[in-house]
Amino acid sequence: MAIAEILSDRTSLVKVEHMTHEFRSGRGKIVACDGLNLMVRKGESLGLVGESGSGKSTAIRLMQRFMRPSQGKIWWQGHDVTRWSERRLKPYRQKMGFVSQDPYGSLFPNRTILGNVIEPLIIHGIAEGPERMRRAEALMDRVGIAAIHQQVFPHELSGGQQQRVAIARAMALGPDLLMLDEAVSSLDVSIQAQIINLLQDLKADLDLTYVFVSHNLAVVRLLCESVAVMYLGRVVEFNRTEALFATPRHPYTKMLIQSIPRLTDEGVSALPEDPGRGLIGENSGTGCAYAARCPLAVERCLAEAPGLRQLPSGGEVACHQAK
Amino acid sequence: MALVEIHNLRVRFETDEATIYAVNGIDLMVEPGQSIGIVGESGSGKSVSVTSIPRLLPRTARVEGSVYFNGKDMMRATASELQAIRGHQIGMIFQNPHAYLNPTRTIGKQLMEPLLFHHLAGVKRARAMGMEMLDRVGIVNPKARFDNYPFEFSGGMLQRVLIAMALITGPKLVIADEPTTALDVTVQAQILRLLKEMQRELGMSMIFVTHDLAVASQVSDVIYVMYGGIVVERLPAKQLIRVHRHPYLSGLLASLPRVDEPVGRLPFIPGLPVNTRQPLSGCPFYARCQWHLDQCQSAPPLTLVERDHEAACWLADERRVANGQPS
Ligand SMILES: Nc1ncnc2c1ncn2[C@@H]1O[C@H](COP(=O)(O)OP(=O)(O)OP(=O)(O)O)[C@@H](O)[C@H]1O
Ligand SMILES: Nc1ncnc2c1ncn2[C@@H]1O[C@H](COP(=O)(O)OP(=O)(O)OP(=O)(O)O)[C@@H](O)[C@H]1O
Ligand code: SF4
Ligand SMILES: [Mg+2]
Ligand SMILES: [Mg+2]
Repeated sequence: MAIAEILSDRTSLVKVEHMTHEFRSGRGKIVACDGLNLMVRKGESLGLVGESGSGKSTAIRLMQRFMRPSQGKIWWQGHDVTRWSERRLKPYRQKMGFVSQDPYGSLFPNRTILGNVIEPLIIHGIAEGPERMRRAEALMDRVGIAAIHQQVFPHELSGGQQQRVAIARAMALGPDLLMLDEAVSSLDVSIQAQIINLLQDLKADLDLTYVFVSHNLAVVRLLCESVAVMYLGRVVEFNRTEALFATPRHPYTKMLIQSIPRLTDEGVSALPEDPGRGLIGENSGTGCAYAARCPLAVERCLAEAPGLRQLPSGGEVACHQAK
Repeated sequence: MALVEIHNLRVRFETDEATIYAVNGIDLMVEPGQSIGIVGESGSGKSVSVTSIPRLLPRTARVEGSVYFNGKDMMRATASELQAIRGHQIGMIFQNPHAYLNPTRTIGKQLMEPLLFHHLAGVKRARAMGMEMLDRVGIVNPKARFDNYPFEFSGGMLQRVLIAMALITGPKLVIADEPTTALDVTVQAQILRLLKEMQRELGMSMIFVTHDLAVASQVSDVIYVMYGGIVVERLPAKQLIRVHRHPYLSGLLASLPRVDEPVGRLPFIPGLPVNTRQPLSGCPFYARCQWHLDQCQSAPPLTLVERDHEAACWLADERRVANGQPS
């Protein structure tokens, strides 16, 4: 996202500026996020897609300040929270919910469903007694958990029901923003459809905004206004959702969209062919991270890492060759 | 001779509170070199069915019926016979990589294990094969990654390690349970190509369990659709869209989000999943089926509706007419 725009912004829900994160291990370091610039405005849900291991989960964990970045800044509602203590963050955390891929793992197994949903209200000291109970019940009602299920334990519910509870819990404090990391991937197709419908409704009715990480591009398309495509720790393309799907610019995005298995009335798309090693086949370390696989790569791509640049047609792309 | 032959497989779990009827009589056949896709509702018995082939179900499982692998009666195989088959002739890729990798051992050590355990290679050769396999599943810079620990890999990268482990011995059969759900579509395509390649090179057979109907029809020859612990439809993969008969499969196809359709709400199958705590009676889809008749309270058998195509629905023939498809 254009850095000038990010720097001048005062109203976004979350933004990150040159955010970098390194993991160190015995054998050296892994740069999981490499100078990310991202911004999420109210009503403008952001999809994060890209190669597995490209740093999407790391980015979303940093944005929630579950970790501190090695470099760069994180802003919540105009405050630089990069170095804030957990105590200072707490009141702001209410405005931000999180839903993970594993609904069961995110619930307390020895508390009832109601107990799980009410817990954040207790921690943050919101409402009391019957009023607190009423709020919890209203939340469960909203996500479609029947009254008879409120006194049971998480393991007695199906995966789809557990995910509804996880969403209710994430919404307990009335957040403006929900961050969802592969939140529908493990669900059955028909249940996935119901959860997607629920997320569409919540967005429309409650003015919720999402940061939505997913490998399923068809789902991202249904829920997000814009999409950032990540490759090896960097954003390689950013655009409005329709534009990104209609005219992908970065060679990686093109391949991503071409690789989606499609069912049409004629049958299924063929397995895409092996794109091979690209023209160069080896990364130089200094150049574009995609060079080794890229069909468009030229000398310059090995020498110089492309930064994100604005395209006249709209959108941004980090590629020397993209038009 | 078929490589895998399953007849009337039934699996129950006896727990403290209840009996769970997980698989209620399925037949399944895999020819050498063939690939079978299994799709179906969560809890419909897909994982339990395929785990019964290498006999890896927990002790609480009560298994009936017959399972043959490569001519061997697996229900009567001894522990040492089973050990020789698992991880060598049958490679397995499971849903949750975290549960199958040891967090305290490096990726490389775990990858070499099947080769060393089955005496298929010495350490030096195993190491080389491990690196090559990591490269083939698309792990960038395998040399540097070989000595990493599982926590240093993302979920999708771990899944690829598991795939590499399953394929490294060149098995006769690979059982892949949701192997690509955690991967982006380009890596997914790469893994699917690798699996197809191994099939060609080694004549390997494959059983591929997935929620993604498009992927299932890309990689399989035949698709089995499961619901409520039985097979409700079996059809050639290439014809999935055009000739499907069972109302459950129609509902499933309708609820798939597609990239080329208008943005909006998705159709879904209303109603609750099957209660596995009761023995099956009648059609398992009865309560959710918009077409059901009184007749459907008795179980519809899996019957041939056309060449290579079976469905378990009393209306399988009428619905074809209703859909206006040629007979
Ligand atoms: N705790 C950690 N220690 C060391 N390295 C890590 C750790 N967590 C993540 N990494 C590394 O950081 C990179 C990015 O990982 P991340 O989990 O953010 O990827 P991702 O885009 O979410 O991938 P996926 O789509 O597979 O979930 C990977 O190379 C991974 O190996
Ligand atoms: N060890 C076990 N003990 C008790 N019940 C079990 C056990 N394993 C599986 N089940 C039950 O058996 C039924 C079939 O489970 P299975 O895991 O085969 O479903 P599946 O079709 O693979 O579903 P999914 O798509 O969610 O992976 C379910 O009702 C499940 O809860
Ligand atoms: S047998 Fe009856 S209830 Fe079952 S799917 Fe067919 S029409 Fe529906
Ligand atoms: Mg992730
Ligand atoms: Mg399963």
